[in-house]
Amino acid sequence: MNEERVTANLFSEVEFEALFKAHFKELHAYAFSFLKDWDKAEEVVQGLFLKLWEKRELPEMHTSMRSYLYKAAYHDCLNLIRREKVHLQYQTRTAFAMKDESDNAANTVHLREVQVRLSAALNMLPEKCRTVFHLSRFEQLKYRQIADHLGISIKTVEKQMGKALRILRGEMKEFLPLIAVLLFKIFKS
Amino acid sequence: MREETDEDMLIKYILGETTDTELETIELWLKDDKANMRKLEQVKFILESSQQLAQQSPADEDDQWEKFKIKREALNTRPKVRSITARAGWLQMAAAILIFMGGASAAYYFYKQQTGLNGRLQSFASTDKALIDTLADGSIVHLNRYSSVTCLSDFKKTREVKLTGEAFFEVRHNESVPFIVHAGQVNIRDIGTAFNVKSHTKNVEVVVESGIVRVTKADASVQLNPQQKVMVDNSDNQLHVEQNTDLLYNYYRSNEFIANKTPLWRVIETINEAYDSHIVIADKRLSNLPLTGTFKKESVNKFLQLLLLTTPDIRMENVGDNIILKSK
Repeated sequence: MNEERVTANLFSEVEFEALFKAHFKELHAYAFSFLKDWDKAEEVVQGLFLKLWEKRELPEMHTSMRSYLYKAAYHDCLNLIRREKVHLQYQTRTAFAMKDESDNAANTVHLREVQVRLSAALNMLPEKCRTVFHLSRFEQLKYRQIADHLGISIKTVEKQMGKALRILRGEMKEFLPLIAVLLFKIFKS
Repeated sequence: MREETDEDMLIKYILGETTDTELETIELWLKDDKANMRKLEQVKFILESSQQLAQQSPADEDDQWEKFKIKREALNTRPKVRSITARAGWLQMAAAILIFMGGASAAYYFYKQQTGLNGRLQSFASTDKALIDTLADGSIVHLNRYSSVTCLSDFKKTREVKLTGEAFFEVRHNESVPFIVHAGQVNIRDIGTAFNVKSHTKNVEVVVESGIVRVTKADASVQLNPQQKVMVDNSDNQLHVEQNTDLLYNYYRSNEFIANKTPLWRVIETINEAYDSHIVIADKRLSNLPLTGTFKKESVNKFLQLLLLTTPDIRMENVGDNIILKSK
């Protein structure tokens, strides 16, 4: 990922296009994990690339480009949620999206609750924590890859994952006693 | 192990990130206590449920890049937002001038709109293909080949269009703004209907499909109801209303020639018009032969084949470009 750490201060059109195409889809999926709406997610990602283009210069590179983009997406999504109060809509959408996951009625209720709650809990994670967690769980990246992507150490990845888990566990407390049953139904079926 | 370290380790274990020695430690630790196993389950549960929330972006990078370029373009044409500070007094001046100019151009624009008739009005023409277009008021015009429609007014008080050739109008209902078609010296006025106007050098034919239209020429005027037609000769001011018996006029819109006991000459006339063909009926007797059927608008040859198949009395001769129909 070192080639992404462009040393020149200004983008060329070609560089920018490459950057855009390389990251659009993953950022789109990332924004979707907050907004549960592909169109809104698209707006956010388009918007953040526009802002980046307008500045016409690379952000100061403490870490990596990807790290910067995820950070921007994180803040833009949460701002949008705050502004539009999408969260109301968001919860119903999530519930709806999860409807087909299981055909066992009672199980579905639990599962849906779990998913809705988990989605909401994810939005409580601080930025770095959320990005690391997302790359690990949603993009299925290994710690090594995450570290490379974000220009951080593997140790930091570990720490952030642990932090994410602690926060999520706190948010999911009430579901945890049920886990034995749920786990069996969800993952073994 | 400290609790935090354990947890980090547990996560690594579930994600398969542990080294061999760590793996051994973890497995021992798990066997050590039932509570540890439960903790593992909880962590696993959270990790795996969240994985279920993962979704792949349905977007396409290339499409998105195209979209981005359009948005960026829009951004460039829009002036950048800057704060106006006292330091930039000239900016305030510039703003004032801009606002004045904006107002002036808006005023000019509305003035032009008001006065209308100044080249900004809609106009379109077809060449060798029929076409469909929508007027400013939402009315739809189906233009036959080599026809044109020009708007004569701004559509505010009246909606007036000039037609050459043939067109079918589906007029958007609006009682307060009458719709008028000028075809040669004939005016067709209506409020919200569908009708066909065919304007020849010799005459103008109006067929009403739905609603009511008023056709006037000089002092004469008639009202047409659905399925009525009027043929107006250019040489006199007589308006003869008759029942419209065929749906042939519809061919360039529906791409079908619909004959319903329609005399052969009438069908051939329409075919010749649609294909620029030269089909001639040599036999007077054949001329009034009633035809019934629907012919897809494909080609003259297809039509002739069908005609010969369905009407055994007819035979065909080719003389140069001309196709001559004779009775057997």
